[in-house]
Amino acid sequence: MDLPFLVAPAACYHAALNFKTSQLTLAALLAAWLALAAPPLRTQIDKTLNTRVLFEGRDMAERTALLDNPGFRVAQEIGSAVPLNECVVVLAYAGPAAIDYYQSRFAYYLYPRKVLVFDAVSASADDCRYLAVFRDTAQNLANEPFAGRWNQADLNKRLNALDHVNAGELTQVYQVP
Amino acid sequence: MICAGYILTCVIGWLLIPKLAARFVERVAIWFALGAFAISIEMFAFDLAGIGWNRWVLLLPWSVLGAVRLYQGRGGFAPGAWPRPTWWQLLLLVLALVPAAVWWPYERAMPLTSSAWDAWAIWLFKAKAFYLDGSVDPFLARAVEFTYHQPGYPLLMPLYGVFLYTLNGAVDDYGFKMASVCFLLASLGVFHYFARRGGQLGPPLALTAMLASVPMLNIVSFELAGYVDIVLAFYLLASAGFLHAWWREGSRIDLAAASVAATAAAWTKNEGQFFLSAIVLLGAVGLLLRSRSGKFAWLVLLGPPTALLLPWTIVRAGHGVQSAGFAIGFNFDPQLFSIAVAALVTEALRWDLFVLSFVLFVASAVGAALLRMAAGFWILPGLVAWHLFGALMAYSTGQNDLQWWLGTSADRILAQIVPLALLPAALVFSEWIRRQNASEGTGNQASPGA
Repeated sequence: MDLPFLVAPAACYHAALNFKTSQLTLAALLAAWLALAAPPLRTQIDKTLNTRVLFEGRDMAERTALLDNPGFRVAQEIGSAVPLNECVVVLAYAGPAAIDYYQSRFAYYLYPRKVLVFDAVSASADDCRYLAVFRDTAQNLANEPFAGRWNQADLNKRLNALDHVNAGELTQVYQVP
Repeated sequence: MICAGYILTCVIGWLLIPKLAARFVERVAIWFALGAFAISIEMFAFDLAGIGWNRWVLLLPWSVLGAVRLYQGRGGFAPGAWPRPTWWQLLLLVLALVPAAVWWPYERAMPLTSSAWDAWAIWLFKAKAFYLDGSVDPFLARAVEFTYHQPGYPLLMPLYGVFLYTLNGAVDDYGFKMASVCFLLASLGVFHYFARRGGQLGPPLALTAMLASVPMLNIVSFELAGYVDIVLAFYLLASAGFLHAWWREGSRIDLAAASVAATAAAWTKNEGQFFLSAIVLLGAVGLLLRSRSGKFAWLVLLGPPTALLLPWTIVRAGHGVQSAGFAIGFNFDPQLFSIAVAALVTEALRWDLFVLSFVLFVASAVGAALLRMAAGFWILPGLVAWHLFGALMAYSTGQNDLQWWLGTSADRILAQIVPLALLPAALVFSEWIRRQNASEGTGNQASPGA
């Protein structure tokens, strides 16, 4: 009668008999705890698998661009045109909260450049020698509509007085002559 | 190179305290956190002194200390005899490592995206700015530009990041995000260390496995990698654990460790400053109760926070940067307080985030009362309550829109305190098992004569 399937339960029963109330309470608590913690872990495994599919074959910059659209790419385009010790005014056709977001995001990506983001084409450039213009994605604008002041004729007039230094996929960068 | 920086951090911790009465994994946990803190102080001191942050110059003091340790013959690597684990100990060890193993591939795939706002807007931004400027001053001088980036927040992690970037030779925010994961693993190690000092083997391992599987703790370490909540969680646990050990055993080294860890907490995040005040207060009460404590003990308690936080306050104020945080008692609104209490309790009971952490916290307090645990034990639940009280007082100032504030921070505030909230349970279980063993021993001895 020493078959493993008979010995194992007997061994467990014997071990349980040797446990004290405190140890059994701890074991029960641990079992309950792990049962409760399992579903969130399962969710995390699914999330990891989905992320792998989404990111397959992409490097870190591409992954960032994918999840940070369009902030990362706009910052890259501005950064390639504006020197490190300069200041840039960004005129963004974007919703109010997005303006705050881009202000922070560009400050991070473009440091040590000074960055000022506005949603009004007449915004003062102060002592900044560079001006960038970009339009938020349609999806972002659908979630949070534009609420600033944007007159394309006024903008064109303003841009005509500047030198065009960079035409990115998403951003146009100008310099005060 | 960033990974080499993490290993070097442990080596620096080891050079500072080569002999530590702890298991190897526990020692590595303490070495890492101590090393990160020491490095941030070194960066700050070198910047204040105008020495700058050249990588070889930064390594010089540690090289000298290493040479001294070798000369003293105390730097010998002695991992100690490895205990032979039983099957259930191995099982619990595996259980403790499973959650990190499940989360790790996700973090490996994730870039620094917009979702982790505080990570890039505050902590990683400062690290990048300090590194590119070669000093903390230029960023602070431009503080009015960076109101969204909390220039008044303390500097432990940004300066530690600068050290890693300096070793690396370039900004690597993704590599630096891994510090959160390192601090999670260190938190598990130091939790086991304090729980094991309770005297038993089972409860520390079981509770460590439970702690490792708390979903919110994994979220702040992986999904919110780059935030400093897990870093703060480590130092809160360490300061409370060492203070409790000092209260129980009276070793001045434990008091010094509590003071250093609490200073590190205050140097990490504002919540840590409130926590530091409790550690200092409890330390002072303890010293007053001990008639023969002497001036040196007071120096041990008050020296670390004064030596570090005072210069930082002067530097910050010199640039006109206000301390982030709030003044307790000002603008207190009882209605906001009650709303915040309800929200925090509701959040704490979410099993999908905290499992049974806070239920077990309350149960352990009841258990401790039934077991009539020593007075020093109550330091631990008291400090948990103090930390939550501080958060509630902040919420009731109405400084921000409360619903937004609670929605963005309540779960993280609770995550900061989860390791400390589970420590009393480990000690209560250890004590319960010890007493059952003792009574059984007494019973066995008594029975032959009965």
